[in-house]
Amino acid sequence: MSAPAYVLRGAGLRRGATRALAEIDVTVTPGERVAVIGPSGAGKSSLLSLLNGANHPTEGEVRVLGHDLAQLSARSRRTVQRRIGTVYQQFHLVGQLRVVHNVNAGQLGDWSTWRALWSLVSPRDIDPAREILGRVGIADKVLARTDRLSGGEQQRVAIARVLAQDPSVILADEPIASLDPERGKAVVDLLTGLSRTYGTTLVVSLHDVGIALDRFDRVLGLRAGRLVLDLPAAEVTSGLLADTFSTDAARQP
Amino acid sequence: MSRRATTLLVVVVLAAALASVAGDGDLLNTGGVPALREFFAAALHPRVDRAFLQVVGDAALTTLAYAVLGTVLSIALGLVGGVLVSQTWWRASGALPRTWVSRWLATRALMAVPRGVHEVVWGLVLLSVLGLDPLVAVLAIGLPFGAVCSKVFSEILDETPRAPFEALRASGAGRLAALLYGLAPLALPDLLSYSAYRFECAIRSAAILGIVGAGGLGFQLALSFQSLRYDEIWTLLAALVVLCGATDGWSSAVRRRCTGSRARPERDRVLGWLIVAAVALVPVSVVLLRLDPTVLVQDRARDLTVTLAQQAWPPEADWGVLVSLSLDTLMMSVIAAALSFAGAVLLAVLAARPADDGRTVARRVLGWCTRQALLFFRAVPSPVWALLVLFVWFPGPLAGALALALYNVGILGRLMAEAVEDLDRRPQRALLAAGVSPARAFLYAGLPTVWHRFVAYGMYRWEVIVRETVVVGVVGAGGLGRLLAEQTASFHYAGASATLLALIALTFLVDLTSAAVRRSGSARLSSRAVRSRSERAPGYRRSPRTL
Repeated sequence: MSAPAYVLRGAGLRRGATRALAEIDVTVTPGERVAVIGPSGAGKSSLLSLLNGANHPTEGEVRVLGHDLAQLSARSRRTVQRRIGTVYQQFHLVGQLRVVHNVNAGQLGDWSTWRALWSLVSPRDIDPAREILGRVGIADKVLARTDRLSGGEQQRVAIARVLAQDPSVILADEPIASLDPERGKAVVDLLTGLSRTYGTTLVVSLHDVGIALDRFDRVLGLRAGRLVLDLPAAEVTSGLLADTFSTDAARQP
Repeated sequence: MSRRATTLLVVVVLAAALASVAGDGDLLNTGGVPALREFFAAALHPRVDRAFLQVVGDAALTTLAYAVLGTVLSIALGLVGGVLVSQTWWRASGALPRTWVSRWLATRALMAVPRGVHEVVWGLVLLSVLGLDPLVAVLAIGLPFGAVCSKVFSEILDETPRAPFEALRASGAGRLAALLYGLAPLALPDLLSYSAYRFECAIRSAAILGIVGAGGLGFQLALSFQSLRYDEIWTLLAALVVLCGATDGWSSAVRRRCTGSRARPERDRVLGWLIVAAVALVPVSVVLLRLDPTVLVQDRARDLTVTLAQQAWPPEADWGVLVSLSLDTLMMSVIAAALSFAGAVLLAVLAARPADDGRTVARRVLGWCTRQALLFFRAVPSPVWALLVLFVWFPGPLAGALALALYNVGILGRLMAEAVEDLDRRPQRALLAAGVSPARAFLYAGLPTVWHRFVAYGMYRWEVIVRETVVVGVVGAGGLGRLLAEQTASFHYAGASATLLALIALTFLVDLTSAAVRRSGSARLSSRAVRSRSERAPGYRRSPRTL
C-alpha cells in the first residue's frame, strides 16, 4: 500500500485569540473519498486550508503527500502544492479573463513566466483546455469570458482548472453551496466520478449531509473545531449526526 | 470597437506620435551631461544653513496655504456648481424634459470652459490683472478646480440612490431641502473622498504656480535654478517631498476611510480628527497670506480686466502654425501618457502592499523604495523635470513629453498601487494554494481584475496631461505652451487668446476620446460581472475618481 495522502497528528489552528481547530488526528489514504460535515463555523474551511497549505498548523503536525509543508522552503512547498487542487464555494476565478486562461491558470506552476505572460496576449494550449472542459461538459465555452457564464458553469471552469493542474488530491470547500440542488448534485457526481476514474484523493466539505452519506466513502464530522465523527459513510447513524449538528453542543467550549 | 481594433489603433497612434516628434535631427545634447552630473552630485550636500532653512520653511507654508485656500474655494464652487450641473436638480425642476435637458446641457458646457485651461494659464492671466497678489494663486487653483469639482460632484449626486430624495419631494419638500436631507447625506462619503484627492492635487499645483511667479516653494525653485544653486534646489525639493508626502498620506487615509477598504458604517473618530485638522488650516492660511479679497473689486483690477479683454479680442493667429503646434502638443501628450502608463504599471506592482500575503523582507524593502521613488517623481514639479530634461535634450515636444512622463509616473503609479491594494485577493490566494508563484498568480488573477481601472486612470491622466503640456511649454519644452509663454511675455494678447482657444479645443477632443475609451472598457463588464463582483467583495467600490 502506498504512503498516506494526509496524516494529521494533534493538528490545531489558532487565528489570534480564536481557536479554529484543535487536536485533529486523521489519516487519509490515496484514492479515498472523504466528506467533511459540520455546522457553520465548525472549522471545515480551516481544515481544508491546512490540507492545501494555505495555512500551517499552529499546533501538531500536518503531513501532505509525505511532506511537512511548514518545514519546506517556499519553492519546494510550491512543488508539493501543485499536486493539490482546490475548488472553492465562490469559485475564485478571474471573471475578466476568458475561460481558457482560467483553465490554464491551473498549470501556471509548470509554465515559465514568459510563457504565462505571452499566453495572456495570445492564448496557448487552447486544445488541451478544450479537452479538459469537455470532461466537465462545457467544451464549447473555451473562449467565452468567464463572468458571462452561469454559476454552475463557472464552478465547472473551477473544476477544469483543477484538472489542468493534474493533481493527486482534489479539495473542495463547499463546492455546491452557491448552486441550486440539481446542479449541486451534478457537480458532486462529477468530482466523485473523476476521483474514481483517476484514483484522485477527494476531500469535500459539505452542508448537505444526505449527499455526504450518499456519495462518499467516509464522513468526518467537525464541531467547534474538534473532530467528533470519523466513520465509513455506511455506519453513520442519525443519532451521531444529531450530535454533530446539535447547536447546544456546539455552543459549549 | 473590438479589442483587436482598439489595440491596433493605440499602436498606430503611438507610432505616428513618435515619428512626428522624433523625425527632426539631433535629440540628445551630450554637452549638458556634466551639468546634470553636477546637479545630482549636489544632492549629497544640500544647503542647510539656518538662514536658508528659514526661507524654505516660509515658502513651504506659503505653498501649503495656497493649496488649502484653493481647495476650499474649489469645494465651495463645486458644491454650488455640482448641484447646478446635476441631472437630479434639473429633473426635479418640474420643467418639461425637453426644456430641462437643454438647460442641463448648457450649464454643463459652461463649466467645461474653466476646466479646459490649466492652473498655470489661469495664473498667467490673473497675474496680468491682479499683479503679484496671493489671491492670484488661490484663484488660479480654485477656479479650474472648482469647475472640475462641479463636474465630479454632479456625477456623484446623480449616481447616489434617489429614492429618499424622491420620497421627500413627493411629501412636498423644496428642491434644495430635499437635496440636503435626502441626497447629500448619502453622497457625503464620496464627496469627502474626492475633496481629499483635490487637496493633494492642489499642493502640486501650488508648487507649479510658484514657478510662474506666485511665490512659495516653486518661486524659490525658479530663483535657485536661475542662479544655478543646485544645493538650494535639493533643499527645496526635499521640502516639497515632505509636503507632498504628508498631504498624500492624509488624503489616502481620508479616502480609504470614506469610500475605500477601511470605510465603516459607524462613526469614525480618526476620520473626524483628520478633517478637523484640515479645516483648522483654513483660518491659519488666511492670516499667513494676509489675504485681502477687496483687491478683486477695486477699480484698478476692473480696468485692467477690461483692457485685457479688449486687447485679447478678436483673437488673431497664423492658423497654419497654430494647427501644427496643436498637433505637436497632442503628440507630446500621447507620448507622455503612454510612457507614464507603462512605467506606472510596472512600478505600481512593486509599490503595492497587499494586506495579507507573506512578503519577504527583501520584497518589502523594494516596495518601500519604489513608493519613495514614486513620491519623488510626483513631488518634483513638472517644470523642474522639464528643466532637468533640457540639460541633455534639445528643446522640443519629445523633451516636454519626457518631463511630463516622469512627473505623471509618480501620480499614476501611486493610484494604480492603491487599486492593487484594494483588490479582492481570493482568486490570487486560490492560485498560490495550487503552488503557483506570487508573480504568476498576480499576472493571472490580479492584473486582469485591475486592468480596466488601470486603463481608466491612464485615460483620466491623459486628459490632465494634455492640459499640463502648457506647463512644460512655459519653460521651453515646445508645443502650444511655449507659444503661449512667448505671446504673454510680449503682451501679444490677441495671439494668446487664439492659442488658448486652440488649447481648449484640444482638451475637448482628448476628453471626448478618453470618455469613449473608458465607456467601452466599462461596457465590457457585463451586468452579471458587476453584480457578482459586488457580492463577492463587500469592500469593493467602483473606481475612485481621479480626474
